[in-house]
Amino acid sequence: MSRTVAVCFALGIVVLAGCSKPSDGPTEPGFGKPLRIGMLPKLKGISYFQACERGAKDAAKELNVDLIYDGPTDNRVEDQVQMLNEWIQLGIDAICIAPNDPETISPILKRAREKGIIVVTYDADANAETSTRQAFCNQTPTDELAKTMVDIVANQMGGEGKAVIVSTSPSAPNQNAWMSFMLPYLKEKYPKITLLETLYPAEDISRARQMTADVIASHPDLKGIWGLSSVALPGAAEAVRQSKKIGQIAVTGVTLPSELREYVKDGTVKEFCLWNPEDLGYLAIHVAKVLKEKGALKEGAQDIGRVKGVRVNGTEVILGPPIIFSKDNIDSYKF
Amino acid sequence: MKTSFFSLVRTWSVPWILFSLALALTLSSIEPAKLPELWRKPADIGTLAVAMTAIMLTGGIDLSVGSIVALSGVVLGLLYRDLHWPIGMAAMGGVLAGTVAGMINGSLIASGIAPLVATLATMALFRGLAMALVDGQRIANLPSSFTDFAWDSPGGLPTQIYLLMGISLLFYIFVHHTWQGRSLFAIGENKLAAEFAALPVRRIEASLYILSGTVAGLVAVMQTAYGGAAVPDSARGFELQAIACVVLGGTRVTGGFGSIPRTLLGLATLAHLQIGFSLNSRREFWIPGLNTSFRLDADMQLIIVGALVILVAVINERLAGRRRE
Repeated sequence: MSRTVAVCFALGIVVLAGCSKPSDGPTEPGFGKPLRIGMLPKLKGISYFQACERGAKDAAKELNVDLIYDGPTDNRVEDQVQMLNEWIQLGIDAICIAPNDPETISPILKRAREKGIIVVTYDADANAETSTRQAFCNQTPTDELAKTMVDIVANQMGGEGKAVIVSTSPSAPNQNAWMSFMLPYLKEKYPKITLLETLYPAEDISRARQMTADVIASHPDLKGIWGLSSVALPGAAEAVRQSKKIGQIAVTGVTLPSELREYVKDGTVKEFCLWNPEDLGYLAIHVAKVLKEKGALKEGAQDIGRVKGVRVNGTEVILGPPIIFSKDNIDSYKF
Repeated sequence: MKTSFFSLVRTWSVPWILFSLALALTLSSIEPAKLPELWRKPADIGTLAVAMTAIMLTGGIDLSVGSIVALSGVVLGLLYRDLHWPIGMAAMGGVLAGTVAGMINGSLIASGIAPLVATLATMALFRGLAMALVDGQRIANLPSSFTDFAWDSPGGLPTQIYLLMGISLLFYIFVHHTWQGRSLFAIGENKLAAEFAALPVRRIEASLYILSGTVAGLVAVMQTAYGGAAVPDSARGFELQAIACVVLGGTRVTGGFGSIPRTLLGLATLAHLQIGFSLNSRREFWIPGLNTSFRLDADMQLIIVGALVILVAVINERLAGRRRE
């Protein structure tokens, strides 16, 4: 028994007495206390949000902001609510969050606002009305991204044939927003393209690959695929490659260049798009800082920090047009 | 007298030490008055854990509670939105859905299927049903009179804590002060012997799962109100957190030993580990002598909570072995 107690105490000593030292926040004494901003991604440990985090850290260094970065290890909105609650109790100045669920996150954001905390969403929005968030840093205009994706595949298909969309889950807000622009645009501009039923492999890359491979097998005349996430697109590309259909099926969508490099090199994917996630994280911190100091954002086009040509439209802050990646430029991007 | 005092110290000291450490960690960065507000989510987990304790005392397990929370929430939302029931009635309908789900579990287990298998199956089944009923979409725009109560703090304590206290009290009386409750220990210790002793084992087991489903329905009402929407994808992993509370408190997974107060202590430990780690996530800790440092971020939390659950389980098994001798 005394041994078990000793083990517990030893453990406690490591946890508690293990002397703590301040984090790598800003050390030089500035004017007053640095602004404390908490950044909460949908989940930690995926490369997309790690890229956002790098940008946010750049901005924090530039602006003398004390950045707290933490998030759930799984994309659970309940965990986000709990973490936000903790940050509110800690007395944080501003929150930048990528909500996992636009509705469930809103009540806690509203409470944060009532306590005078600046609330900015990035990557995905909360319910603007019920959350009363002050700004949403939108990666790229929804319609522009949708049209770019449609044009890339349609041109490679020659404007006719069968195509399929690989989304994530039926309730994913970003993917649904893009599709709501893609479908009418396809019908109007490329009426000879017939769409098969949309695939929903959730956030599971092997399911995305399997479901796409099944469609390729059952529709040998399939000519185009859109993969709408960093899981769907690499999964779909792998399916095309394994089915030995490189060059016969046009593939595009959104994902990080680092996830798709080899498929671009071997020609499976000729072009695809994304915004710059580092700039998105960077922008979110800048916007929070501006809101804290000035209370509002300037309307219209402007440069915010290192990001040029940001458009502010009410409470929506638009990062810029999508970047199109191809064999020629893919190696110049780090994320 | 002396031995019973020592056995009390022996079986309770590990959870208490862990809890004290966790609480100290939390209080190192926040004043006590702010704690209740942070207990809204842990209280819901704890309510599930209390019902889970009764099941685990018999050596059973209910993996489907998270899915039942989601399903009941969705039923609540559908009754309100599509059938235009008043929200209070819809909430009762949601709880009832939990009871029905519990009945399905109960009848499967009474028919002789192992609880692990039965509830693993219904975990998928209920989740799928919740998703299918609303096509994966959430139901928002619930009336604020309903959502506000889950954000209230009557008497300075969050509403969720009152539910936890109420359910804990009921289960405490049931488990520790009724003959059915005592029979749970007998079933957990030796099911065959309990059957030979003419205990209605099947019926008692089935009723435990029905209770668990009903409690999950109540938690669903709380969760739906707290989030302001019925989300079919909600409460994922709640069952595992509830089980972790039970185990951390020192209740044996194989049944026959444990109690409701232990689970509450386990809950408090787990809650304060998570809250404490999260509040201290930016502090860098270095381990003296090893020249390495770590942070108590979300990844580290999982590692430490996992290690603690193993530690407590091992200690409990050894203590249980000693009790037998």
